[in-house]
Amino acid sequence: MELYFLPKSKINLLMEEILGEFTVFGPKQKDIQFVFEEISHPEELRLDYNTSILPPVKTFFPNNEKLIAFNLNNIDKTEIVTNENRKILFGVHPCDINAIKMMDEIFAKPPQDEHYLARRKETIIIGLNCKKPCGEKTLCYDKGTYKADSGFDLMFWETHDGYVVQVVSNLGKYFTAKFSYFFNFFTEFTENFYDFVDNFQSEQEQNFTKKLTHNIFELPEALRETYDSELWHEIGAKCLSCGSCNIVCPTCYCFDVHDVVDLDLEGGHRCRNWDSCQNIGFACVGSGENFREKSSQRNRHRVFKKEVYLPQNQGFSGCVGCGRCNNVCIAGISLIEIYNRAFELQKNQEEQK
Amino acid sequence: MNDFVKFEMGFLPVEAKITKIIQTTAYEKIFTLKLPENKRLKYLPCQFVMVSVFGFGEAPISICSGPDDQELELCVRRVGTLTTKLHKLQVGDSFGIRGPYGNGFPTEVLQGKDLLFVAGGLGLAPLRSLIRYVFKHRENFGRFTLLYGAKKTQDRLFVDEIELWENSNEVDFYQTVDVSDEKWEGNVGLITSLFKFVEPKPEKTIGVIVGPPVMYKFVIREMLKKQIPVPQIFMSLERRMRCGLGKCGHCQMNGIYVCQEGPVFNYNEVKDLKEAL
Repeated sequence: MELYFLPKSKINLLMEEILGEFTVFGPKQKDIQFVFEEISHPEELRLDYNTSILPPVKTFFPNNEKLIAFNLNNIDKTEIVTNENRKILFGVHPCDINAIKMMDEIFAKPPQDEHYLARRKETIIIGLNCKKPCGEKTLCYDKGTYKADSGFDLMFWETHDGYVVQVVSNLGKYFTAKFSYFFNFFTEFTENFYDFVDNFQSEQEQNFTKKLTHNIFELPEALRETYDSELWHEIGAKCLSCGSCNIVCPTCYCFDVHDVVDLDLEGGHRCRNWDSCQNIGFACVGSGENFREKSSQRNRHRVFKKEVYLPQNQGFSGCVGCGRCNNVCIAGISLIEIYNRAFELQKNQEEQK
Repeated sequence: MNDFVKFEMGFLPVEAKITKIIQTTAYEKIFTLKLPENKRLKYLPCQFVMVSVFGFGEAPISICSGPDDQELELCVRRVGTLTTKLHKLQVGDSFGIRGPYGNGFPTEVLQGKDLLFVAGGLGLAPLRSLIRYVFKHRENFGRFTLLYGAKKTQDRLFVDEIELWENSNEVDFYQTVDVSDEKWEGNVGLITSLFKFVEPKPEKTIGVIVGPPVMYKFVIREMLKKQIPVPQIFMSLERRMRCGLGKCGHCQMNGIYVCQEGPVFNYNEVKDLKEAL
């Protein structure tokens, strides 16, 4: 493991070097919030961001992504479209690193999705550990996703005047080798790294708090028992079916496919756009039958997909607790509340037995 | 002999050239297709393909020809943008297909058994693939009973074949319409009204159901009344699909992606699945 120390005052210098060589995506300010988008000037990078409106993983799964290029007059000219540019995601928080790991598994599961995998391939992920939660509505401490053990090439650990830079993968080594003159000239980390991590983590322990009344491992079972409960009717009555929760989610990957024809009426693309299981027509078939026509059913499906079906099918939860859906919901629906209600219902049921 | 077409790239279709069109009802057409270099598509009964016309989109369509048939056939009902466009195409025109997708029917479970097939409406299209398989290997099966229900007499699909089935001693064929007209002399009533003609030997009968979503629970009830055991009842289910690759999420019922684990299910697999039936 390579270790460096990078003073905060040198970040802009490093960014200048990187931007000369790579396309870089990172947190930057937009009005009073932050977005995770392409950085064009070093000073745009805001490593002090709380969270981004859209998660970094959407870089590999962009909205309106072109899947195939077609020609209306000649089917032989049909081509698959993939995008394989090397890029850097700079400043990815652990929750989002965990989300990328999950999406990697989903899209690599046969039949593979070559579009996601092409964008993902060769991407250098520079993580940024969180010392404190980014808001009130996160579940990352309950979920253990406030830290990441893998899924990054380099990790930045913040200190009062700089960052300890931990290099863990071959891509990470490639990165530091490429900028070796920079790293060698400016940085060295001489302390014991494990002592440093211990101190960092005890600071985290003080700042993060649990939001759930029970252990997260008990959640799938508690939720299963809510399947027919009133809870979903209550949530369904509040929900406006706007789909914002899905759009900002770092682990939502449902999509719709549509064709866009060029203005010359010759060429065009088959594209996919993000879809939301909260949209009323999401499970509607040609004959008009809608398999989830009630908002309560759709809300239950969103939560069950993440916390019951994915654990059952893939062995991991489909929620990294980033809190984006809770923050963005204009109806005030919160997963924290839903999960705690599920625990409460389970407890009440057990007491009745 | 490499005479089968291969699909390796997810969303990329191949050209399917229309060689024949039969307008079977006012809303349904049967397309006979030719693939590039005369290659064939290898598929199982009840599998489906993603059909597309560039500029008009893509949708899942069941294969209605049998797996041993030389020609690939699709039966398409005109309901939306894509299928309306498909209905405007002529012999010699092309559209895109990719697939086949889905698990297909586990034909091994049928061997040596009596068969009770039940089709409602457009459900006859995917089931026809299995029916043609059964006729092709008729000696491997016992008694073969086929029930078919349509809304009106003129909604019935594959009427030429129905005439053959009616006069065949290889199949006991019964049909019904929900609403009759003056020319109709057959049974009138829902598909379940045909069960009075059927006396299966439950222990050696395999039941197969394909029809509109509303039909399943009623037909299953009739099969159970005839004492057919739960593990011997199979069905093919319809869901919205956008990719056929187990990703887009539309076909999911509870934790199951229908395009991957279905569309054919044993009743045992879905009877406790709340979003299934």
